[in-house]
Amino acid sequence: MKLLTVAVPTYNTEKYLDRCLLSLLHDESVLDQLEIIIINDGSKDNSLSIARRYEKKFPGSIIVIDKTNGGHGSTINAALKIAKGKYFRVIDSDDWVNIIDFPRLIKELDKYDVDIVLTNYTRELVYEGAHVKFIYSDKIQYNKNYDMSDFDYKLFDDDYFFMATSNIKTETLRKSLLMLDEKTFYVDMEYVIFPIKEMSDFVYLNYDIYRYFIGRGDQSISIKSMVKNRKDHEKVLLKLLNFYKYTKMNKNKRDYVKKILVLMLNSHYMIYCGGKAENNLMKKEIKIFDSQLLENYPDLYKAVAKKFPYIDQYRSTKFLFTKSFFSFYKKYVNHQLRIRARGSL
Amino acid sequence: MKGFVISWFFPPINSSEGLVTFKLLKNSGIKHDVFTQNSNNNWSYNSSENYLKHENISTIFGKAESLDEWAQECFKYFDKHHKKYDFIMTRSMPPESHKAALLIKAKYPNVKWIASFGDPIADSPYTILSKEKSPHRLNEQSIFNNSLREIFSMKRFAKNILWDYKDRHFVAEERTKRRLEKDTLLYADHLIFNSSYQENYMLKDFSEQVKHKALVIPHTFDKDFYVNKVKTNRQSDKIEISYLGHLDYLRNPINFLKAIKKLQRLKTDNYKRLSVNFYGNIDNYSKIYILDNSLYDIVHINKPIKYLESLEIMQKSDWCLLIDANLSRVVDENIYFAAKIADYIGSGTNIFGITMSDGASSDIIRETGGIVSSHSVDEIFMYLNLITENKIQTKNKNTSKYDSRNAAKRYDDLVRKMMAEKNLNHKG
Repeated sequence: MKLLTVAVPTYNTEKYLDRCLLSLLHDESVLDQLEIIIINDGSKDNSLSIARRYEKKFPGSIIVIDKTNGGHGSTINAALKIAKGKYFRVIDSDDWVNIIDFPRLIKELDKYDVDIVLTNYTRELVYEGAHVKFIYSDKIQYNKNYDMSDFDYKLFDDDYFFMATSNIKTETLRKSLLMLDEKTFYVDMEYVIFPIKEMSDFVYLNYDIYRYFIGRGDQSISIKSMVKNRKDHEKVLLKLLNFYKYTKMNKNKRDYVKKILVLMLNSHYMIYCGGKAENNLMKKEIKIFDSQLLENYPDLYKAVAKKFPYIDQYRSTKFLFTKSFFSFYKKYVNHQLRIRARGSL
Repeated sequence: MKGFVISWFFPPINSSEGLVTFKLLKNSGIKHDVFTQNSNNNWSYNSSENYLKHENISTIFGKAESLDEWAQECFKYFDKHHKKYDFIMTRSMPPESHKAALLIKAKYPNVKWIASFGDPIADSPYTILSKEKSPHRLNEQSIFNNSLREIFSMKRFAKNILWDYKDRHFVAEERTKRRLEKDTLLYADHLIFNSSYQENYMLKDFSEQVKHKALVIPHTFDKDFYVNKVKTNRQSDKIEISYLGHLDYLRNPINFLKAIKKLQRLKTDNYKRLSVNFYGNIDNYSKIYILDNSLYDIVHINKPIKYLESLEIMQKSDWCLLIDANLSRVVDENIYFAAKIADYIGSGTNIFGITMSDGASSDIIRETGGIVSSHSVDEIFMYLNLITENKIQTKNKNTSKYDSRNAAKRYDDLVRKMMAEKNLNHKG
């Protein structure tokens, strides 16, 4: 029986795909319980032939889907359709897994019947020549079942169920009718939020699984990419705001979704003020967005400014406040993050 | 046809730079006289090396000890013997060979000149990374860590100015290097780079006309230098990884050693299966790390060895290790192609490269069937496990491009084309 399905979205990552697959396949003793679905999303390089080579070598564990380009969301949709594993997770093809903890996790998945099995992850900051281990608050206990309806999400601080930390029950994902947007960046937030309504419990295991490789300038999380793909960010954000408004959930889950949306809204404002605030088009865009937010989601409008006071200042200047202040603010935030990062190295 | 080659390093001084040129000229069908020196053997392999010689190559030794005087001496020699030569070829580093060629070109503008580059002369990412920045300058750290008094401190301000003043020699030196590099790129008739990454980096601000002069001829191996036999009988069942060459505080093996430490802690059996040898200079921090973490049972540091001996060790090893500096803070792609990679390729041994994901080294290692890891300790650890468990198979492929015979053919073609153009211009 397959305990875990790993979806590996692949687009022009011939330089990295080997590393990802070698790490997943390292321990042969868990191959019977592991299903790897490599989704080649119309790569123009040799990614497909690399994937096929592994499929031929591990026919019982690897399936290759070759499709026309449709973006990250489309690859997850495709993998989810055919996944046979009890749990489902996504590992991007330029990332990899820790070869010690990954097999341990698979061996243990059989013991649990919860909606999410949470694990830790590490950011490999190749540019900085360092790595930062991500661990949820020590207030959350390992190996304990938590009921998500009455769980105190404040214990998560500013964290949530990240794509990199979540092994989600396949059945639960399907039940939530998860269909991610195609040809759109930042759909990982949809993946993180939409299934929440169907989920009832989770467990947190002390395994450091995901290795998130941050070393390429063209990665979608870089500020340059975020400015370029800001319309995608807005599209995903509006979809999630809609979900927040119209989906029935208990108060606890609702507060949790609200917390994530506040963080996402902050990122959205940061794209504009951290990017090119002088740019008239962008100024117009953020003005419209801000007024729509006030009209349709007044609670979130207030909440984001309460948590991130600079947004109020940004608004008070009618978005005329230029880059310098915000780049200063951004530097401050980055500095704080670095201090945090150093502490957990 | 005869070429006049100017290269500070050349056998009998067996430095990496000199050997690269020697391998190219040895396999060329053209005769060359090489103007070099035999007094300064910094950066060389073991000095008691057998003198590498070839009938196609004659050497002329300059007596001057300083680089500038040597360039002048070279110019004077050429001035006296210029009728003997059809073209000149210069090889950096150091860049004074190009300086000598500029002097020659000023007096003999019709002499054809090929300039070949080891590393960039100016704005080298390695130099930029190694340059210590003023600790008194106002940066993010000082803004958020210090008080307003410190930020607006006259004392800090003065210290910063003093630092810049002390630094003026470096700034002036860099300016001179920039000028020399620019003149070389503009006035040489043809330019040879060792990788397209280096070419793009050095020519990014130049016109199409200059870019058109460029040719990539990679570093190469020479089959004649290797011991002509298959792998010798194994003395032990350990997997031997060898690093041959210079390491320093920027190009250091610390992440590799940390990965070995992790192996020792988490996969003891795999750890015991490993034997790692470094041949050449190694930074002190890494030496201390080896001692502090009791890795000395499997990690050995050896003195620099002779070049030909180093090739034999490459052949005997199971894996040849490459470690590049992590230049990610300065460039997105590694522009350096360490000459040792070509020798590794020639040995036919598996290559394990720890380098930036994008760039010359990683492309070449992947192309020839080796494995590449970033500087991440976890990633190196993963590969060490795969290596010690024999779970990774590499295949020596696409090596012909790095064979000096093929590179020399391309060089000869370039020279012939250049001379044909010269003759055509003369007739015209």
